[in-house]
Amino acid sequence: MRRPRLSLFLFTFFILFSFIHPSVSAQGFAGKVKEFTLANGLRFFVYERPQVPTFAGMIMVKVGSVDERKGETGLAHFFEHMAFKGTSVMGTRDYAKEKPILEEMDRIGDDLAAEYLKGDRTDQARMKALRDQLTKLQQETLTFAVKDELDKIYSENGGEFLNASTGNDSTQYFVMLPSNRLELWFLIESERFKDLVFREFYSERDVIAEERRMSLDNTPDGLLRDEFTNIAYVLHPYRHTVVGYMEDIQSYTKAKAVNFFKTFYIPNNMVAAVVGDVKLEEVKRLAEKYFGDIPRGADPPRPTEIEPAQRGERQVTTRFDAEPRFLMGYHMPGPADKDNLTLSLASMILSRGSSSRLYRDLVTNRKIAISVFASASAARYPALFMIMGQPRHPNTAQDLEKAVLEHLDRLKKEPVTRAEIDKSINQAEAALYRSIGFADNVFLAMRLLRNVIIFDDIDADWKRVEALKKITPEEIMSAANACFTETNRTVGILLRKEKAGEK
Amino acid sequence: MRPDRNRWLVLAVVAITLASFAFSPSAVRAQKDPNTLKFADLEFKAQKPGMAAVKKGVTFYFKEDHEQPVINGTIIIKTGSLYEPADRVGLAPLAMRMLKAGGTKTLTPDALEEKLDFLGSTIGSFAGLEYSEISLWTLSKNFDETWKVLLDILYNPAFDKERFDTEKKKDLESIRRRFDYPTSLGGTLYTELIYGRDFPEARRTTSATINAITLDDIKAFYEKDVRDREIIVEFTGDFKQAQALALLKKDFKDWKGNPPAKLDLPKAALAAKPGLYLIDKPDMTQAVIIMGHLGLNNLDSDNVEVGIFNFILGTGSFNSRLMREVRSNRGLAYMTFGSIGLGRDKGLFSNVCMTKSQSVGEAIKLMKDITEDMTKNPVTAEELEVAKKYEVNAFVHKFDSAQAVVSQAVYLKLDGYPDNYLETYLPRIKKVDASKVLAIGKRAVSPDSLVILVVGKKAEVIDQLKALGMGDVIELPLPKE
Repeated sequence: MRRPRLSLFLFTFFILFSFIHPSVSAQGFAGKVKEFTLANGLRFFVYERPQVPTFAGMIMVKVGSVDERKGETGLAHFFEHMAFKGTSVMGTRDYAKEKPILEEMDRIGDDLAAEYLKGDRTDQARMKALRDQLTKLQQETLTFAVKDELDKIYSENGGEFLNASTGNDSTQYFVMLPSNRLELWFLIESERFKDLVFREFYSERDVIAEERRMSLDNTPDGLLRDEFTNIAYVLHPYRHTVVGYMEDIQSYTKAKAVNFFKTFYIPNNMVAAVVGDVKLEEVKRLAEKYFGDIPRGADPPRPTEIEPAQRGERQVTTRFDAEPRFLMGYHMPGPADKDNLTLSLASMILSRGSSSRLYRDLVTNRKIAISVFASASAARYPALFMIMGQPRHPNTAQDLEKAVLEHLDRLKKEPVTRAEIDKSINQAEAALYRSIGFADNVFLAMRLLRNVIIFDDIDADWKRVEALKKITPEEIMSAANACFTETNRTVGILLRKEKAGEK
Repeated sequence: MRPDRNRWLVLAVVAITLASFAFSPSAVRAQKDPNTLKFADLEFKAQKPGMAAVKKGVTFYFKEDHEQPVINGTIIIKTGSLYEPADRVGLAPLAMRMLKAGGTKTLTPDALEEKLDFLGSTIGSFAGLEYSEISLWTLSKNFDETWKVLLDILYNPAFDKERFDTEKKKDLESIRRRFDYPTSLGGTLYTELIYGRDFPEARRTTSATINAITLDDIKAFYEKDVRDREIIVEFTGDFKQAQALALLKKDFKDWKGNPPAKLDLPKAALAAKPGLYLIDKPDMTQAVIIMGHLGLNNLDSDNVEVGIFNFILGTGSFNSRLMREVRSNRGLAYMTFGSIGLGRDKGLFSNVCMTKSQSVGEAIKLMKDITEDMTKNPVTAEELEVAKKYEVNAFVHKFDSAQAVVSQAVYLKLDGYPDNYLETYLPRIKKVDASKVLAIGKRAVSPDSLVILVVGKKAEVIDQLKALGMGDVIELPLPKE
């Protein structure tokens, strides 16, 4: 996430949205969306929607925080920021003169990172001297800079919603433009990946440090979520947040970032969507012209860690100057497993709509909480079934936990009713249409590409709704019994500092 | 073997690329330079929704769109929190929520929720200051049933007592949680500093005002300020306008559509003494900074032109001075923006940034200099051009959904904008020059009257604030609610 308008939370919302509420059965995207693949493996999806003379363009790269190694957390997100800094042509008046200064900065940056990594033996005076040198050189580069030119060109051309976001599983770049600017989109998007110059590398670390402070360290929900995932996983890279640890952010080197880019930003690891007032043939022609010459790369390495089965409940309590919050998670199977969709159905029965079990009982009737929400994951790798809520004073997070556990037990012991399943299916079908408005071309592009990245099927969300119809109450009970066990549970609670005795 | 083949491929491409560079560097450069692509400005005419008078006090705005089988409907009621008694702050939103939450004379609250969820439809409501809404979203096949529920809510609310208790308790809990986020603490208190606590835009609920509200208050508000009040009905999506109009004529036959009472409202005046204010939050590693004063009225003679001023100051993302200087050039913040806001009486002029405790002083000085410069020196030709081109070419996005077309037109009308506002928008933008931007700065921004609020860790920021030489730092207590 590069601009403040959207947050990482929005992306999280997206993931939930697309998979808790898959799409309507009779329809689907397949008839409306045309696909073609360039020789280098880059796949394009084109949805012609001519009602308004605009389009949304999106490139999604199958790289997210899950692809980062220890000591390099946040690199996918950091790279996303770098991708706005221009090329050897865009963003500079004289790259030939700028280049040696950038290289000099990298040498100092490497020294700085090495010094920082000495931990408690870091020489602070040397750190400061190196930082001062970087600042001075950064000022020198500004004499050649055309600041934020990518933004400027898109803005002058009526670009709206220009942004990018990074998640656990993917990174996406998007903008909405007047439809006569299709070629502009192709030129800029191809150049930023063909000829990227890593400018402002070191000052951007400071920006990202501020982003982390804003979204995680100084907000109750961000802080709790960070601490929670850190213990919910012991091995799998889903354990670290997208923005990365502050310590890693401070010690990225240019070499690491370039290597990361070369490994993952290859056409056979990217998908693109163009949604709006465009013509397939024109998109094809321009795709070939601008993206056709990027060489295919070697298949990127993928995480080598498989999360070990959890064998005991884990708990974390963190403190912030805010009212209590509660998070609970259970490891659940990924989309390849039948129980994945079954648990998704269970999450809808638990908390979708004000007539759902958790909302009706805990918020409306017993008034233990003012919000409670359950969600099942459907991601590249097996992730968590999550329940989150805000207890209502004087009820505590523990009261809420107890009440939620009663509901999970009920799912394990009693079959749900047919009416509850039917209601969830109706809600899921309706939700398939919620992100299809004109202004939602960006969201539609996101939905299509995410279906491809996770399920390799643009109609995955529609098909998953169709598949809900075959799930039986007994299957829900059996999946609940397998998933909602004490030893598979992680609980995170946030409390106010001065109430240290309370839980 | 495969990696080798790829390596050869890469080498081949590199060789070809180098060859073409050697052959004609300027041609290659041109291919890589987006500035070489020239496009005509998009000539897009403002879209208008359909409009029909259903009867006196009931107006219908609509735009059909049959691409998807969904319908959006909204009833805008000319009521809101301006009509609440001062000791019942929170009454209007609570009453609007209770319309649905409290069930109807034929549907218990549980049955109502069950029915909507089963249809996959949603009905929502909220209260604004002057206007409130009840809206529905439904698949078109379920429109009839969803609409019936909405009418039932509007005509026959039952105000269930137990649900009233639940909704009040939710409000009380939300008050406890209001300041959980430093940004919401900053925003709330900044608004209060500028307008004064009792001004409509700054009033907020407390446990006392919520506790004071009775079910009879809710019923009385409904009878007096919702029922039979003047309304605007909006439909967008998969419906037929003639049928919809006939439906509204039938369903609102007896709705009286009374105009709201004229209110005698105070005029906005800067409430706080200009200067530095601090709220101590010892746990924070990053401070929230908000600075500014009162903004302009919705119908100000420069209400379009101010968009250019704002773009250059702080809404134009990386093209704005705040983003460029505070974030891009100095890495002091991730989030920073600013604008002269328009409002019912007067909006807020505000500039916002979040920065680590150690750089609070530097950020404030920078933001203040940027603001001040906008009142002293003309913006550059390049800044002006980018802002104007953006407005011209992005104009189409204001109309990129049927809902946007309808709700934009309705609210412009409600807020008193002239009927040709959107038609004159671009001609006005095209006329803006640097002297106009400077004139707006001189008239609407007063660097000597800035109220600067910092929410952050006192121990780490206080010396920086004192060093700014802007007088005493006034420490505000952290409000309980």
